[in-house]
Amino acid sequence: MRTTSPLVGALLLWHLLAITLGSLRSPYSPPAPPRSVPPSRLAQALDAVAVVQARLHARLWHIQEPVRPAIDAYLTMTGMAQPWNMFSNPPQYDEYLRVRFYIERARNPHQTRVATELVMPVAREDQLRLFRAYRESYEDKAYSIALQRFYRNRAAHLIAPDTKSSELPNDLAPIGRFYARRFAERGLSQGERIVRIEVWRGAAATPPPGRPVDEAARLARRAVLLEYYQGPVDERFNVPRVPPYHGVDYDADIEWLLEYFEEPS
Amino acid sequence: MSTGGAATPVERCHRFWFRQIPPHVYAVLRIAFGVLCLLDLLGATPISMFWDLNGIAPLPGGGTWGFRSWVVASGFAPVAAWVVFTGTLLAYLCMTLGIGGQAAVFASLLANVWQTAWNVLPLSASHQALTAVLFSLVWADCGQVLTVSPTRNAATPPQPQSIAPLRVLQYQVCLIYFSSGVSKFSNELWRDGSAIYYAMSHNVVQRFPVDVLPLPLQGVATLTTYGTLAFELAFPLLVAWRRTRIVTLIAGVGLHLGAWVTLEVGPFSWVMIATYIAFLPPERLATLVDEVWQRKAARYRPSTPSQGL
Repeated sequence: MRTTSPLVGALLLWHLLAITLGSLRSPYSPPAPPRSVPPSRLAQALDAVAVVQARLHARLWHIQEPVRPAIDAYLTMTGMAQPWNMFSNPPQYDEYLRVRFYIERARNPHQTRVATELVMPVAREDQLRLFRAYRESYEDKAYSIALQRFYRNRAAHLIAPDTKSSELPNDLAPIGRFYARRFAERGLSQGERIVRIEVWRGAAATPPPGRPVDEAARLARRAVLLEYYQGPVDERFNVPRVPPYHGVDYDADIEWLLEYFEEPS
Repeated sequence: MSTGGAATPVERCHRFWFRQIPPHVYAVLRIAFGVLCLLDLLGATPISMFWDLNGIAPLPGGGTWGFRSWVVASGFAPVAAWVVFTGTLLAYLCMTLGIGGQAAVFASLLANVWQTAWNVLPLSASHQALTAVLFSLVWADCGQVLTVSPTRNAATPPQPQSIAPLRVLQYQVCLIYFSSGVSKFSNELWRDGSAIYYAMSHNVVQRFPVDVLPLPLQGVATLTTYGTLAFELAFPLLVAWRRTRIVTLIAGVGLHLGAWVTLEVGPFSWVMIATYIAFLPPERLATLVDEVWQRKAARYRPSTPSQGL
């Protein structure tokens, strides 16, 4: 039998310890909303086990806290982050993201038009998603991660009507600017310029299991989405007013919230 | 994960972690994950969107060394995008084909980690799983067999490799499942059986155009929710025990294929299925690879003796 250096053994042990503790998530999360349907007996039994598991989790988290900085440093250095919480919290709503541009004419600055473009989901949701959807899933992921980072970085006090663009985290700026550039290349006439970019996030609740879908709302949403699928929706006459920050807008049962805006100089 | 018949627990432990195995399993993993890295790379395109720092990428300024800021400020962002993308592509191609041996695997790991630092936005858990696999593979010589490298084919017979990198990979896969299972168990939607219903009804990831999962399938979704939870939590135990290992791996393949058919979440299903290669007996896999390779060599080059094995 060959002998192995104790250093190799120690490094191996450290690596296994680091990835194990690195996979541990913080046990402190916001309380879950009340259930929309009464839990079954099995769910109640599992809830009781989850209480014990949460206590153990919090205990383990507390125990490993002193070595956490060293572990985080090692995992960052080696690129070995352990984010294994895929689908652990599936959304109970459909998600959308749209960008809106306010366009001014040089000759008549008071005559503004507005163009709105749906960017997420990339694929149409009324069609089967096959091979092209593979690449599109990366794009959806990019929007989803940008939103997560934005929510993590935005302080709660910034959710106020008079919040200035410069106060907001810039995590959604690349999305707004990318589509603004693309729109400027294709959709601007001579003498026009984009004076305001907005990024809106939309949500429409999914009915709980066993509940029927509201057919009228479904058809209304389908009609709205069909309009978006044709390309940027141009509004020249009934131009929407500039909303306050975190303003609300509705398209059928989709509730839109203005999450980010900027006004290019 | 047999430890054989070593006498003392220390020897058995040593044998478990460090015994020598044929290098074929590492070569098969190298090819499988090379292909998956290429697929992952192609997903994160077009280059102007995800590699150009003026595209959909975090704004420069938050990095440690300010390299991204410098690239943008210098006006070279579009050129840098092509350079980084092409370099990554070459590293993955070399690894897949077995050109450059361990250096190509190391370059692929660097490229993989670099991509995360360059633009994390389009990258999902499958990219992180690829990084974890590459990290294990850099410690073994994966380019001894199943390679197009002419120098390797003419070299001496393949040298056995330590099983330690394979054990690290097996542990990592168990950790992925168990950690994912614990995270899921912490969420009430998984405990009340509705998680798969919501996942399959979600407009961003669903493959089939349904508003919500049809009523007759909701019972199946509940069973699948509990089945997935049980599978993920029990995977480390079930795969460690030799009697349940193959059944567990077959169930895992079924689970991931089911997820792939119903949800579009990038290459994650394929990445996880490919990690199961690490749980196959290395000696039997080597025999199988040798047989297949020799048969192919005999078919295409009947006058040349089998090489590179």
